[in-house]
Amino acid sequence: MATEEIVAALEALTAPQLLRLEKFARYRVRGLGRAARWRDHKDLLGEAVTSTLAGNRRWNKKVSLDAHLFGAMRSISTHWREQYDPTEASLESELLRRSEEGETYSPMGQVPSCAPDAERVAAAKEKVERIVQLFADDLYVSLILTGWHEGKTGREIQEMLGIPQNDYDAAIRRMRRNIPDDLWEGTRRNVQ
Amino acid sequence: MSNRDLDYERQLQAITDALSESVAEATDAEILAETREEGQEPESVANRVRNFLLSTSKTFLQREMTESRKQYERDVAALQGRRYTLPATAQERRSLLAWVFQQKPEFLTAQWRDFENLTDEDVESCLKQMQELGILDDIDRSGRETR
Repeated sequence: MATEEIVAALEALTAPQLLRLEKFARYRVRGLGRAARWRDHKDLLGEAVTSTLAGNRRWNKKVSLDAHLFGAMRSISTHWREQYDPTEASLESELLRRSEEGETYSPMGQVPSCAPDAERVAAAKEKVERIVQLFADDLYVSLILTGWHEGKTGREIQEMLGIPQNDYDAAIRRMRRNIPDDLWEGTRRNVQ
Repeated sequence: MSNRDLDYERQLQAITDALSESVAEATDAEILAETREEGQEPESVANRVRNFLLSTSKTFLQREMTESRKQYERDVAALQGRRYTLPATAQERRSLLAWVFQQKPEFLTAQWRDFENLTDEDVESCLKQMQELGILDDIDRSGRETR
C-alpha cells in the first residue's frame, strides 16, 4: 500500500469515523492506567497511523481504514500494557511537561497508577464505585458490572443471565453516554 | 492487598475495553449525538482529529525523506572518498572500457550501447561502478595495467 493512498484515505475519513477513532483511543488509554506512562490518546492514534505508513502494520484494503486503525490501537495498547514493568523506577523530573499556559506539571500526577499499590487500587476502586452508583437503578448495567467484577467476560455474562445481545449493547451504550468525563479526570486531554 | 482490590482494577479495564468496542460499533447518528451532548461541535472536533492525523503523517513522511536523503549523501560521500585505480587519461579510460565490453559483452547494457557518444565523465563513472562491483579485478588479473 503506497503511503499516498494511506494519506488520501486519512483525508477522506468522515466526521463520525474521526470521532469514533478519537473516542476509541481515549478509552483504550484510560484502561491502561499507569502503563500508559507519559502517553495519551494522541500518542496511541499517532502510533497507529505512523506504524501503518511505515508498513509495520499493513493495511489490507479489504477492511476500511478506520477498522484497521481500531485493530492497530488494540494491538499497540495491549503491547504497552504487557511491556510495562510496574517495578520500574522513573524520575518524575524526566517527565515534566509545560502546559499551554506555561505552567510546569507532571503527567505522573494525572495518570492513575498501574502498579499494585494502595493509591492505584484506591483510584480504581473509587472510579468503579462511582460507576456502580451511577447505574444503581439500571438493572442490566448493574448485572454487567457485577459480572465484570467477578472476572466474567461480556459473552459469559450474557449467557449466564440470559441478556439478549441488543439489550447488552444498549446497556453498554448507556454507560458510555452517562459516565461523565470528569470521572476519568487526569487521563483526558483534547486533541488540539 | 486482597483479591477483591485487584478485581477493581480488572473491572475498570473491562469497562474501558467494553466502552471502546462500543464506540467502534456506534452508528454515525449515535456518535454525532453523543458529541453534541458533550457540548462539542462534531465537525469542529472531527477537523481537529483530521488535522492531527495529517500533521502526524506529514511529520513521519518528512522524517523518512530526510533519512533517505542523509543515507544517499552518506553513500555519495563514501563513493567520493574511495580511491580508484583508473588509467590517468580520458583516452586510456575509454580504451579500458571498450576492452571490458569486448571481454565481457554481458555488461554492455542498453545504457552503454551508444559507446562512441559517451562523455569522458560517463566513461569514468562507468569504470568506477565496475570497480565498485569488483569487475575490474578480473582485468587486473589479466595483466592489463591500471593505476
